[in-house]
Amino acid sequence: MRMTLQVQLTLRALLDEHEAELYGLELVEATGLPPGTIYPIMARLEHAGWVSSRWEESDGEVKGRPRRRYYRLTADGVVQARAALASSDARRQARARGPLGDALPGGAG
Amino acid sequence: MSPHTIVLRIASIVLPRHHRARWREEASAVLMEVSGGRRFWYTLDTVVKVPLLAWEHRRGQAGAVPVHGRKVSAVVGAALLVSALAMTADVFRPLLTREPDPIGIDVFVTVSQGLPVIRVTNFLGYLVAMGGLLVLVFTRSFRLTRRGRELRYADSAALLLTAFVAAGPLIGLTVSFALGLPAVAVAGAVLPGVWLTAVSVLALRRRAGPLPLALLGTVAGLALIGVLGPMSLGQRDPLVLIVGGPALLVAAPTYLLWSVWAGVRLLFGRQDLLVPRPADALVAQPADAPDGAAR
Repeated sequence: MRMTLQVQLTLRALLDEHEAELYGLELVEATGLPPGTIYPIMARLEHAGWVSSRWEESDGEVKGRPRRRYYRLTADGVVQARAALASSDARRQARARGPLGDALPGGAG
Repeated sequence: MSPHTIVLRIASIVLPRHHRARWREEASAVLMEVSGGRRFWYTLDTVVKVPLLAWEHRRGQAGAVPVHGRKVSAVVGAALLVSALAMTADVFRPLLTREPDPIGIDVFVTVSQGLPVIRVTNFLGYLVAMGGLLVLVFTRSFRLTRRGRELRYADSAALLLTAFVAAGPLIGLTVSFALGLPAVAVAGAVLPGVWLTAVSVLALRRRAGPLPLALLGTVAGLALIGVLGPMSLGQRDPLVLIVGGPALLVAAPTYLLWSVWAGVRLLFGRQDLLVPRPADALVAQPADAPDGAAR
C-alpha cells in the first residue's frame, strides 16, 4: 500500500472512528479532502482488504435521498493501518532529524 | 433528474460497468447533502477524478490475477498489437513504397520517399496474427490449470480448435490440393473467423469484458468468414467478388480495431476477454446497488 499523505489522512480518520462507520461526506469532513480524492482511496483500501463497506440500511425512497455507503476498517485493516502509519511517522521523524540525525550530540539535528 | 445526477451518469461511463451504479449512488448521496457552491465544487471534483477511481478498480482487478498470468497476458496483448501493426503496414506498404510484394518471410525497415515503412509479407503477418490468437487461448487454459482446476472439455476443445485454426488455412489448402476437395480448403480458411466469432459470442454470454468489444469481435469474425471462405476457392471465383469484397470492407476495420483494443487491454493486464467477471460482481452488485437508485 502506497502511503500518500491523503491515504494517511483517511486511515487516521477511520482509526479515530474505527468502532463506528463513516460515509463519504463524513470522510470528507474528517480528512479535509475533497470527495473525488476519497473514492479512489477507499477503492484502493477496499481492494487491499483493509476496509469493508456496506449500504445504509434504509429505503432510499422513504428518506428521499440516495443511500449512503458506509466504510469501516476491518480487523486486519486496523492492524495494518496502525503499522503503516507508525512506519510513515518514523520515516517522517527520521527525515526531520536531517541526514546527520542522531550523530549530533544530544541527537539534535 | 437533477443536473449533478446527469453529470454523474455521463462521467460514470469511464468506470468499469459493474462499478458505475454504486459510484453514482454513493457520490449522489454526498452531493445531495451539500448545496450551492460547495455542491458545484464537489461535483466538479468528483467527476474530474473519476478516471483515478477507474484506474484503482482496474488495478485492483488486475491485482487479483497472478503475476505470471499478467506477464503472459502482456505478451499476448503485444502479439495482437504487432499483428495489427503488421496488417496495417501490409495494406499501406504498396501505396507508400510502390514496389512489388516481397517474396518469403521478410521484415525490415526501409526508407522510401522519406517515410520509414515496416515491410511485412502476407505470410508473416498471418503467422503473427494467428500466433497472437493462439496464445490468447493458451493463456486462458494455462490460468485454469494453474488454479488447480481440471481442463474442462470446452477448454480442451477450444485449445484443439485454436491450434487447428492457427494452421487451419494452410493445412486445409494442402489437404484440399492433395485430395482434390475444395471444400476442405474452405473449411480450413474460415476457421479463424469461426474462432473469433465463437470467442466473442462466448464473451457476450459470460458478460466478460466490454460489450462493444465482444460485439466488434463477433462482427469481425463473421466478416472474416466472408473474406477467407471465398478467397480459398480462387481469385476468379464469383463468390470472391460478391461476398468477399463487401466482407473485406467490414473485416478490415473491425478486425484491426478488435486486435488493437483487445491487445491494449491484455497488455495492461486485463484478462477478461475470455475470463468472466468475478461472481460477486455479477451476483452481488446488481442487488447491492440497483442502477436506478441514484438520483
